[in-house]
Amino acid sequence: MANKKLLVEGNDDKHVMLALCEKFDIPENFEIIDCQGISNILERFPIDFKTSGTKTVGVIVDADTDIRARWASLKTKLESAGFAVPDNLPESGLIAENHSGQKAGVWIMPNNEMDGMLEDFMSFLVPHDDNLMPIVGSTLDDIELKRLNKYKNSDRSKANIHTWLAWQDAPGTPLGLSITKRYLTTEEEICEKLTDWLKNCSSDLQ
Amino acid sequence: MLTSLHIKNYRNLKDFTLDSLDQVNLITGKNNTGKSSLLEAVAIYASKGNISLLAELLKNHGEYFREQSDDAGQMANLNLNALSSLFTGRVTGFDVSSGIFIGEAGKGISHEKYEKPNFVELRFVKYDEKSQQDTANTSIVKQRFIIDTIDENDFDEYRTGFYIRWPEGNQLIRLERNIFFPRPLVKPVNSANLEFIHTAYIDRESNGALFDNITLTDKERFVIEALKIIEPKTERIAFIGKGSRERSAVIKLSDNEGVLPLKSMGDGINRILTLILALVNSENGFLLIDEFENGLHYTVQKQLWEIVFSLAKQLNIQVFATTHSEDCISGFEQALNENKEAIKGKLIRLDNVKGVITQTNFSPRELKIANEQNIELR
Repeated sequence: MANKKLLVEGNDDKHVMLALCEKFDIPENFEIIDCQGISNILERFPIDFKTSGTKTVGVIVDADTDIRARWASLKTKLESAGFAVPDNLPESGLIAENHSGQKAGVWIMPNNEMDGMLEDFMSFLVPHDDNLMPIVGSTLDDIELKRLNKYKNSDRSKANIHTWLAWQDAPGTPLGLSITKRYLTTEEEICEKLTDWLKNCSSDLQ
Repeated sequence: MLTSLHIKNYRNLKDFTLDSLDQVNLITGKNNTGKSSLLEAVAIYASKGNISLLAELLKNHGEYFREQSDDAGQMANLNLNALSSLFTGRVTGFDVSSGIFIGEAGKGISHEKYEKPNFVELRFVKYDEKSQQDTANTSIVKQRFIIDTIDENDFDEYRTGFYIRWPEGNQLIRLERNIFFPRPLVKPVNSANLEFIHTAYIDRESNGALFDNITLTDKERFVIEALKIIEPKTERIAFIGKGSRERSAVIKLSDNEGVLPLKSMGDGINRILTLILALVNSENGFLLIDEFENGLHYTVQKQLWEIVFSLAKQLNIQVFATTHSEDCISGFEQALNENKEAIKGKLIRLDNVKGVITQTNFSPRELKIANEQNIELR
């Protein structure tokens, strides 16, 4: 059984992380678990620290509409598992150790600072010289103005990135593959921050 | 009921504490993490150090020798060697600190000789024997004295004994004679109602006698209900055959005129009979089950746990069981969280961290989340 786990909210998150690991040669010495939602992650990760031989549990969650509240609920649970954690989430993501020699990692999408989700992080990776994204934006503005959109306002960033992906060489490419197929760039600073956090999270304690 | 447990120097439990225990305690962990040792320690506590139980444990460990010796010193060594296997690292110290102590945690272990102990103590001692004629010159009274401080030079002058102490009394067993063969010579003391189901018990020799204890009582109904988990057509059972040790169970099914040997019906129903007979015979006491899942298909484990919970409540029994099986933990979790009698139960996982046994406890709620999200707790 894997003694290092990375808990993520959904299938897209899992495949994005797998694609990044492959791209950046991060050893896949941890199990990435699709927990199907934030509430499952919040319920289970204190228990994951109690399973036999568990060394590391990392979590990647969406900030959604209130990053401070999300961090606060994670912080309380980490403290009860014996981790000393700062009041504010570091912008490079959290890595903490407890007295039992276990490691905890927290990354809140998109960048540990803003409200948002995985899809916002993915939009940061659209190449700067891309000419389609402005048109995607104005198209969404337009249908929203005419009240034709069926997505909720809070899901706009999902509509945004998936529309953009629908206009690429292979329409319908899922998020993970869009990295592998290089539709998205991985040279952005935010991507480097996330992969540094992943490496740090998966490395063995000294 | 034990509310906590402190064990010292018993096999691989050198100094081990369980801060809290519930009515039903399921223990899991890899091999060599002390699961069986924990059950055995509870058995020793509940039986007040009963020598027959110790002999049974030594037999199970393959530490029981039938060798005989006419030489008292050699016999003492044979006994010492067998009994030493119960002690952490087979240490045979003759001082109090090398002794096995089993009791509730947090109550402190007092070594005062005459104070009433709240634990069971087992240890080797050196003792001296003095013969005295009584005043009427009619008989000789032998008095034995445990020597607590031994000068190394005098070591061989004293005899070797095994000292057992429990809350209501104590016993000094002389090791110069065969204490186990052909059966323990020392009369067992009264012990609590205790049934210990070992790993290998699919069928158990004592089942016939256990059935006799409860036949024609309400408890017989519990037995039939339990057997229906596996064979819904079960109507009655009986033990037939000659001699108390050779009797075997037969079963009457509703769609069959005759009776069938229970042995012909597979391991599952036989294991359930063994478990349920042990259960209904441990009223106000303890039931210990090593490897709950043995012989049982995973689909019946939840139902069996439901019966265990219900009877533990009705008959006031504290249950300790061990398991290696995720299905067993899952069945335990569902029966625990659904039980209407509000019985308290928990899972305790033992780990061997560089020779030190550690414990992790899981509440019913944690078990439910782990079960729903497929988190392996073994």
